[in-house]
Amino acid sequence: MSEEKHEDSDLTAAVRAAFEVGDIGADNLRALEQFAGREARSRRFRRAFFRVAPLVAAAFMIVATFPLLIHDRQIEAASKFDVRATIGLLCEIDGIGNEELVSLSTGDLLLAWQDAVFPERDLLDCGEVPDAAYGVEGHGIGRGL
Amino acid sequence: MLDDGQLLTAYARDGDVRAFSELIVRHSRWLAAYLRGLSTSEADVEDAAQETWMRVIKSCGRYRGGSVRGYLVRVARSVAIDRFRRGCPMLSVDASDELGVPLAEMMADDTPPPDVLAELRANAEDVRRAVRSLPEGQREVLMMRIEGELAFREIAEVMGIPLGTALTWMRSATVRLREILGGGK
Repeated sequence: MSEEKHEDSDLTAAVRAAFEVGDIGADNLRALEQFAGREARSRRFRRAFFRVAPLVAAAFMIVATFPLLIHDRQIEAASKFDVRATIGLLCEIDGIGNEELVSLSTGDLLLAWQDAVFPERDLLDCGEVPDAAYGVEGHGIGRGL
Repeated sequence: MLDDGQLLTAYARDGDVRAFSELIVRHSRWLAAYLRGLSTSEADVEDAAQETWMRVIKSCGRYRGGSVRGYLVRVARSVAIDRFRRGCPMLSVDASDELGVPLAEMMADDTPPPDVLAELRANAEDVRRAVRSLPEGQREVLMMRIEGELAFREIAEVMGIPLGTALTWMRSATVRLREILGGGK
């Protein structure tokens, strides 16, 4: 169906003439321009904000995480120190202190102390091994490999 | 010279107020005329036109190319629905769809009384009155076509109706107006 069939040029002209309005008033145009200017500025600000916001958030998270990491390391270091100090103290109490122990790691220091005080036990082995396998009697915990 | 789409994009993307001003100058007359056709009173038209432009300013970021006239009509139509239909019981396009009333039947029921017909003269006021007496759907199609100069396909898209319906409504509106104004058969 062609579009022309539905139209009538005289009628179109009559309707156009009937509903014709004048040009937009200068005051209205100026008001709309001002509104458009304000809206454009606000849109620019919003765009800039959403562009920068993720970066700011990421930077904030990094900055906030640093102290936590540092704190975590300090706790770890302190706990290491405390364990070693505790074992060192135990060694001293049990009379096994000598200069060689100073150079040992915390784990080796613990083994050295354990070998000296509980030679039949492996404190690092929590598994239950039959005493007979090691020829040791009277202990629930066998020595490890 | 920039085309309408370029002007609208220049404002939406770069905040070019002068481009937008040019767009207003180009389109304000027919847009106001279109709104005048949808309004049942003259008083509200200027405010509706102003509101249409303000909504365009606010929502132009969503413009994704295509016919600027179509885009403007879409915005103006939503303003008209908010303003003119409020408290004004008129035939709704959607209602006719929901009820499934045949279009011909719907239009036949809407013929103005003979005394009204006799009163009408072929001057501007009569034309306005005749247009306003049309069922809402027909009036919208007529104004979109005559003032907005939209293609029927675009009108159908804006109104959410089939193309055939848009064509039929335009034809019915034309026939009715000719009858009312006594200008033809």
